[in-house]
Amino acid sequence: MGGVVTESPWLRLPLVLAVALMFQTTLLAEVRPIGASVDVALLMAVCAGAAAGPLRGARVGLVIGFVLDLLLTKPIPFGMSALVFAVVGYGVGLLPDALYDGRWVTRALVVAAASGTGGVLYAVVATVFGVPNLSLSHVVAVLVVLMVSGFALAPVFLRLMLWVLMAGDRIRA
Amino acid sequence: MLDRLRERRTAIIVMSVITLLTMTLDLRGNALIDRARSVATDLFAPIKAVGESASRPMVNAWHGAFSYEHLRKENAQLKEQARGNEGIAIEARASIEEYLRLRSEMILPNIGTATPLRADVIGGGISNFEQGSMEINRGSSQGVRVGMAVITASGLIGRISQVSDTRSKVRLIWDPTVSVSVKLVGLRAAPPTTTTAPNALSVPRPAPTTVVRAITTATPRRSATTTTELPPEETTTTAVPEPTTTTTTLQPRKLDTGLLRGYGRGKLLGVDLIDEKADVQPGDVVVTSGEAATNLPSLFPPDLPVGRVIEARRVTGTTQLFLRVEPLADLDNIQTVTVVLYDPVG
Repeated sequence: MGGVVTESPWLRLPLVLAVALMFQTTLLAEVRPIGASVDVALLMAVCAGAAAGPLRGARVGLVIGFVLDLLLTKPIPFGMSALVFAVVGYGVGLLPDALYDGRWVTRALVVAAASGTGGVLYAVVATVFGVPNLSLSHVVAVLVVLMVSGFALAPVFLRLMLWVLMAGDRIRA
Repeated sequence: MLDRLRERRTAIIVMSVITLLTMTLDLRGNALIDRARSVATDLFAPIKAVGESASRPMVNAWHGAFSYEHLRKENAQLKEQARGNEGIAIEARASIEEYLRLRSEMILPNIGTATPLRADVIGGGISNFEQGSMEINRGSSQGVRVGMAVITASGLIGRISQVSDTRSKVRLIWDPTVSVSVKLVGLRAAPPTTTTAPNALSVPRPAPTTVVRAITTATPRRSATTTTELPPEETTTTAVPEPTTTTTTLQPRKLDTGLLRGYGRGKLLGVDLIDEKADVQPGDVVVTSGEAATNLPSLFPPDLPVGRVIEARRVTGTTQLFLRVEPLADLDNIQTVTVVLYDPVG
């Protein structure tokens, strides 16, 4: 069984995604410092782009987003998370390699900034598509939580996505 | 190199188009997407149950450290209980008013049957941007349908927005996407009437030197009369005045209906489409009208208590009033709810 799972990224991804969403919908939905929750799905999309480049980052972001959208409800339209995650995965993948060289702190800062950007992009798209209840204070709280959690969890999630996407020891393919 | 760049660009453009297409389809209402979400909710339910069991100690530790969950729950339950009594009283008032109105009109519409279904809240919004919703552990297999009312003992809290076999999602009434047809309830004191009632005295009129006075008052809301006999009063007057009856009654106010909407978390609800000539006072109660707020048939039974009017103001440039309404139910600490399985007939 373990051998089958390690054969393809597209077998590893559902496994990791299921576990991630399991905690996203339970633990992280309840534990909300300053009113916002850690978004592991977005973090996976960001780290996928960082680990494997723009194309695979976008594809993985799209898949993760669509799965998450299935669990969300209106007025968040189906496909909104997929759009944001794909764009974020693509964008992070386009960042120059030099940003990922050197110490882990640099990588963590990149992931934190990308997570925050993803949160803001989500808010912008949500506003465009008429999702209600988006106050500026809430968006700021989300931004802070996403950036702090992105910084703290970056080492773990970068390694995780390297394993999921079979990208070897390189941060980017 | 150029081919690779082109491939990337093409890929992200295609992905964006696909997602925008699905978003558009979903916003316009697509049964296939709704069904996919429903199936996904059911498929994910066992995984979520495992996650709840695994994360419960950590969640409890978090709440224990930051919000003292037990005390918070107990406090919420006590508040809910206290508000529940108020809700029951208001519901009774609404029923009385409805009864009086129907009796006066002698038109008895079929209001169908409503069955309460108790449900536990098992989660809130998943995403940071999915606010104003919560998930309950009852679904279509128990008769829940999209559009049904969800209440607590205090009153209306929301409407079912999505249903799977075993789970449902509720949108709270403070969410701007929820609109409910409501009516105003309040009793008004009718002008006191003073009438000459020669037959009010059942005892033979005594001698001119003695007058027995009778005071008749109406008991509020029941119109039952009580008579108090005062002690005889010595008088030297020879003219005997006719006994008078002063009656004060409470009558239902003229029914005004409007559309209730939410304006976000922690904000008052609003009711518009109320005629400017409507007799509205702070403290009047807003209950569901049972009429449809959209072109879909209403699954809300009438007379579910919703809120209390805080203020009424005229909308500039229109002939309408806008009411600010405080919800009766506590919309922040909800542990258990009741889904009103309502089947309007005809």
